[in-house]
Amino acid sequence: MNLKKITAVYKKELKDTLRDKRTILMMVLVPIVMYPVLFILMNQIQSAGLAKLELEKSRIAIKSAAPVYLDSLLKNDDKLFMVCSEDPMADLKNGSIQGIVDIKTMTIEKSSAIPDSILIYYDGAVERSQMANSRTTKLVEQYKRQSQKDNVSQAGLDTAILEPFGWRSGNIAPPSRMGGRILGFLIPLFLVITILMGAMYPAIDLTAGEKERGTLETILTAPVAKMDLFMGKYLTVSTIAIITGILNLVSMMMTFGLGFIQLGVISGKMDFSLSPLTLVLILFMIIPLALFIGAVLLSVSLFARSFKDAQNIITPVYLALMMPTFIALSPGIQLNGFLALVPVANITLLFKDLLLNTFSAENIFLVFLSNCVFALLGIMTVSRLFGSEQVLMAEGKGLQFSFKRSRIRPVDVLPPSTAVIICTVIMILLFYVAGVLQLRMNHWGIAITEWGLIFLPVLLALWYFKANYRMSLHLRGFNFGAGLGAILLYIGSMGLANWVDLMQAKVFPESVKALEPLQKMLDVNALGISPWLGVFLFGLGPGICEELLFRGMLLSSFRKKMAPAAAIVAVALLFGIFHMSIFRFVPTFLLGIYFTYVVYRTGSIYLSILAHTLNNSLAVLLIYSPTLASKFMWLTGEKPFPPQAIAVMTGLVILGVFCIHHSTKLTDRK
Amino acid sequence: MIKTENISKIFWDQKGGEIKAVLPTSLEVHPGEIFGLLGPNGAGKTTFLRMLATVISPTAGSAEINGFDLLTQPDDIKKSIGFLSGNTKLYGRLSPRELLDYFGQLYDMISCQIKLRCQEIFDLLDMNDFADQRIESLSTGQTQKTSIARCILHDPPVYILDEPTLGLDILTSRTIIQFIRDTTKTGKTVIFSTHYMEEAELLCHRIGLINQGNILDIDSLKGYQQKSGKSHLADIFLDYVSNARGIQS
Repeated sequence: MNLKKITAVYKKELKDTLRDKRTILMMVLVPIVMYPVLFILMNQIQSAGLAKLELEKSRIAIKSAAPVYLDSLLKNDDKLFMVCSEDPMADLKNGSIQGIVDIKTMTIEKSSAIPDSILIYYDGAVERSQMANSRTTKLVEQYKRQSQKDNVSQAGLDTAILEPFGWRSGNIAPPSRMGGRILGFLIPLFLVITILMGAMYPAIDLTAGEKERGTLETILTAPVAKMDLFMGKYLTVSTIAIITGILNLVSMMMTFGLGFIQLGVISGKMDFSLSPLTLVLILFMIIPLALFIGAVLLSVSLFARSFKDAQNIITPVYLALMMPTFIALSPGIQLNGFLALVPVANITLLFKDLLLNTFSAENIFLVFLSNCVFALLGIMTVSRLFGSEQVLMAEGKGLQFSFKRSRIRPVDVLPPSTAVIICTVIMILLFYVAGVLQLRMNHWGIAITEWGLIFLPVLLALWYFKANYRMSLHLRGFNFGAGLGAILLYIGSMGLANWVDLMQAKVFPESVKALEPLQKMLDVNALGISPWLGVFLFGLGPGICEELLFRGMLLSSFRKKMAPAAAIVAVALLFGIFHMSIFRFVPTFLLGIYFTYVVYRTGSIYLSILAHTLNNSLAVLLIYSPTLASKFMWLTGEKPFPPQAIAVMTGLVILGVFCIHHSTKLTDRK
Repeated sequence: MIKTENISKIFWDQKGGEIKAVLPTSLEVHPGEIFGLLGPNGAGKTTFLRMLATVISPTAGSAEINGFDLLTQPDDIKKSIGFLSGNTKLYGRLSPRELLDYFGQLYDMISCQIKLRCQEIFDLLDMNDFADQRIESLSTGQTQKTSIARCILHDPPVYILDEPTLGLDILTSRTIIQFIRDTTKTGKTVIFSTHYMEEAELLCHRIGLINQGNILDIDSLKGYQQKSGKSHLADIFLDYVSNARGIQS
């Protein structure tokens, strides 16, 4: 990275972008004009409508004669107008009247002529009728209270017994918090939308636009690293996004501040002015939001060949970015340790906290960090793509996929992007289908999941993309040394992973509870099947299927393009994520490292299938047989992990690695 | 000085088949020489020159420009060449002066150096009238002059020009031809492609005839005329193409 060149690119792109009318429009004009206009318009339409409704009289029909007092109440109310109607129900339905008061009096001989019941009909879908209902209800209640008083005094009692105690409810939220509640909804929503809109044009303009106008080839002949060029562009998009966010926030605050003061009715209950600290913190949080959105938009538009193409690609991304905001804005969702790591959603939630004054410095730090880290990760990945000729020079191609198999060129192994997409699709399938299947079909559901949703898709993908099965799945034998090493290493790393698991359970006791459903699922006694079927279903099935996916397809694809350590960690990470439980992540990641390393080094999938099967079968058998479990109490956490076991395990790991290293040779890398 | 050794480029078509854009090619161009690549559309001229300009990377082979290796020292090569083609468009929202200033920074020139060089170029190419207008508002000729200015800004020893006169009127293409002539007087190396026979006849010391990714022959105009007994380059080129076809069939 060359800071001087990044600065040169940044300055130029900023100048260039700011001369683009569309950018200026989105960045400056929209916020300055939109909020006041939107607000005034909405306000006027709403208040005009409300005022009109308030002024209008409600037309009410009375069925049968009303008692004198009620009758006078209804007739004397200046907002009600009594009409005669032949068929009041029909009139209410067609809207010529807004309400019906139906008075049912069964016992005529009652001296007081108090009716048995009063029914008020109204049309809940019509606002006028709703208003008629509330107006009439008020009067009927007044009548009811009067009747109660009359009855009580007739019985010779004090009317005070009707009010044994006084009561009222009090709102302790100061006006600023009431305002904050509304702002907590509006500010994040508007900020995310406007930052998206503001950053979209420069993002497209600086990538797809440059391709379309043919300036990209010019700049590529100049001695500037593609990485520097991309960073300059990214900084530009982020700057525009930040400016857009700030302008929007300021304009929004001014509009609300001024607007609601004019609306005297509400301003008494709500206060929309922010304390300087809140304002500064919100302004500060615009930065990570803008950095993240900028990164996403720039990355996506990089793949487009033209402006129009980019807009098509960005639309779904736009929706995807809005989604976390909507979820975060649903009632009852609070910022917690997990949500603090979800970009965009965490900022939305933090805004809510900031405006309600319930934020913590720790959360601000987490949210800021996670957005920046995600943005940086994305940018690093994409800037590498930016270097690739296919993306840069795809003239008239862009993101075009050909789905005809006949057009696909045979490959040894899948390219990493394809492999990751397939893996993601499988995970999504599992997420939606596996749960239902396993709920309905118990253990056979697992078999269908493993073979139908993992094994089959992997084979299909390899067939479709014409990959070499042998190379893609690491279908290769192994020699004695490698086998021995793998087994030693397995025992060692399984033990260590288990130890880490138990450590984790100590720190997060909730993890034990979270694992209960899994243990229940593996309980062959409860399922009423033989342990050997259990071993077959839960041991061999996952052993084969998951290994073919992770240590087969993914690893073979990654090892071609990545450094060994990176490939192994990436596969293990995906393997950890695949188990879809935050508490199983660490142990599965560690086991994943072991499986991946073994296959990477030996080139043989059979070793990891063996180890994976052993590992799962052990879990099944430990749950099945209490006598077996009692021999390995420290594995199940019933007894503390003996320190000498850790030493032995570590020793086995070292011995295993040594064995494998001595009996294998890596041939596939330069 | 340009030297290529068996440099070639293979593209993949949509069906996954190979398209050989440029077959293994070796040639040498010396300082003070104008080398012309002559061939029809789709012959592989642009791909060949793009590889030399480090815009795309070769599938196989290597090349050396001004003593720098194409594959390992791309930045040094970029500083040593001026690349101009129909695809090297300019930033419309900048003025020529701003554009040159930007590229100057990328070429590691310091700001007073850039200023001096700009003035020199503006005087040389008669650009002072429109140096501060936005490029999008300039005429085709003025834009082309700006492109040349961009290309010569860092005073490179080697020029790679891909159909620099394509689609230009006589006056504008005259500017370019004049510019090419003048540069070689100062000992620059020029390699340029065209499908205008007369341009090649007028300018080139040596001409490479290229068709379907193959260099058919390299010689001077005189050499070609003696070999074939024909005077016009167009006729000579047609002979070569039909000969090559004859061999194939």
